[in-house]
Amino acid sequence: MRAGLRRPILAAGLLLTAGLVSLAVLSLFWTPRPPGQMQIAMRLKPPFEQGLLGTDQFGRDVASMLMSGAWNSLSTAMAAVALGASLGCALGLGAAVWRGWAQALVLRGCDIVFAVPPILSAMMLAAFLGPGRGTAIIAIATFMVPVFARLTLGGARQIWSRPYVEAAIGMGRPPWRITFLHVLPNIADQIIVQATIQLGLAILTEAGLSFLGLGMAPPAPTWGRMLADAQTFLGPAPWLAILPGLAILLSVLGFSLLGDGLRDLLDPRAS
Amino acid sequence: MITLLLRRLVGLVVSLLVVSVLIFTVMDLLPGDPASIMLGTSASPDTLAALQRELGLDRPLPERYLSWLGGVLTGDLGQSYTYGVPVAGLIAERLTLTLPLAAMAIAIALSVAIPLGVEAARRHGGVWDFMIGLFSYLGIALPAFWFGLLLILLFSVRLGWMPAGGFSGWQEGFAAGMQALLLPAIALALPQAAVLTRVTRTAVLDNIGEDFVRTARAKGLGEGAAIWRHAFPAALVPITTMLGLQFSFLVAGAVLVENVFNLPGLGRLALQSLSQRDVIVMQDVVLFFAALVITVNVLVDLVHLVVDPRLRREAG
Repeated sequence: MRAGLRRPILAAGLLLTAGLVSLAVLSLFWTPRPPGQMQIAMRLKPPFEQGLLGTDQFGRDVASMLMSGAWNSLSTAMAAVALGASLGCALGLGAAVWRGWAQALVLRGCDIVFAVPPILSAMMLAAFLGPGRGTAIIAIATFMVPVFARLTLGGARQIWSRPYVEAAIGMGRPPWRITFLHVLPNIADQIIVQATIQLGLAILTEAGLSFLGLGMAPPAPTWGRMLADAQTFLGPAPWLAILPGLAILLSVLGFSLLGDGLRDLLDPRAS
Repeated sequence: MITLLLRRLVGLVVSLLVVSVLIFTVMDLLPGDPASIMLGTSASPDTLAALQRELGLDRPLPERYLSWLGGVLTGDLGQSYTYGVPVAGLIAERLTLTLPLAAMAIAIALSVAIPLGVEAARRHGGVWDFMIGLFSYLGIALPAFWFGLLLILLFSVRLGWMPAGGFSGWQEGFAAGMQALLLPAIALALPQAAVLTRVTRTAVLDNIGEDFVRTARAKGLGEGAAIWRHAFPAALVPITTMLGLQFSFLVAGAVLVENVFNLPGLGRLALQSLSQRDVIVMQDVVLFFAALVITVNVLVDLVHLVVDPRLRREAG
């Protein structure tokens, strides 16, 4: 029964993420209307009455804003995960080579960085650098570093104790070569799975940041700010509060399903 | 045991010191200083210099840090620039909202997650397990602040049963206060419940096959009793570990949910201090949250050492 339920997880994840990515990429070339175009006469029209998903308080087309928001959200999340994962993996791989105090330092550092949620570090950064995409990317990436550092350190330590690695050490191979030749390829699966899952979390965090006004500056549409604006119109225009949240939910769900599906595919023992 | 406890406590103090040094240094390295941020770009150089002197910004970083640390140890976190009151009092006042909110959210999350997780483990592979698994996938992907908006939409705007937000303080009475915090606590709890359900299921499943649970069954205990009295208590360690790890997310969620429901809590204070450029308040709130997260995790660790003799042997 469970084995039969396994592949649907991967399939559902692929479907949702492929949908998100294609809408996001499509928005760079085409949206039903220009996402920033205001038509005050058409304001607060419900879905299907004006455009596919209705209009907001300025008469902007919600479907176009959601598509454009998909790109903004996805690109920010990808940049944050790429930055956080590369820093974290470098730290984890290095700590596995040096062990001792370097490892202790990395682990303790991870605990400390993990204690400051991205929302708070984004606020600190925003006070000095101003809010914006860069601030959001740095704040989210910082929080991801410990996740990837712990993961690669744990994985790399196991690989370092394998017989073939000990043989390579005996042959006098330098640690950096062993790291890239034997360690990294063996833990790449885990890193890819984790990066997929973290992409979902990054989208969730980005939405929270832009909800608080700590994300991309207007007029660029973001799902978070669409929700923040929708708060004023909960009574007359509930779709404005429902649709962007649904977009966030489905995107995060897509990446977490895809991550779990990939894990089962790449490492059946883990499940 | 005593030396072990002492060692953890020393580790806690070191972590707290390091995090405070780190936040101080990062804020110092970033361009701009609190005085110029507070005054904006239009301030005259004289006013700026005066405020810098008043805030002690003309002194070197280590000196400023030590005087801040001395203040913290004596309960003095400095003065808020916008409110003109001590920051410590401001934080204490906001905590009377944020702490009950977080406690309520944790209570709700646990009372949802534990029965669901245990039930899923008991019937693993079945339809209930699948449904509960679906619930935890959805819950993890659900933005707490959006769920809060949906709750307001349903219970306040449509049905009119609940206030749409705001909090008039505990002097209005315990019941009124709890009512104001109920929807925000539910919004905050749901993503936590989803994560904890998953952990509970896995942890109980891991223990169901263990000898001590088999023995309990062999003694004639029913399946339910064997799980609740033997497999579940053993699963408490991973559950509380996850609760500690999730605390950081709970804090982040509280900042967002307080803003959705317009609650004057600590998270809202942090955001207000950002828009009012009250950098000292913000720095103190961020440090306070970070200290809280670290402390909670050390406490979780200590509780485990006390309750689980196996861990004590490993750590000793």
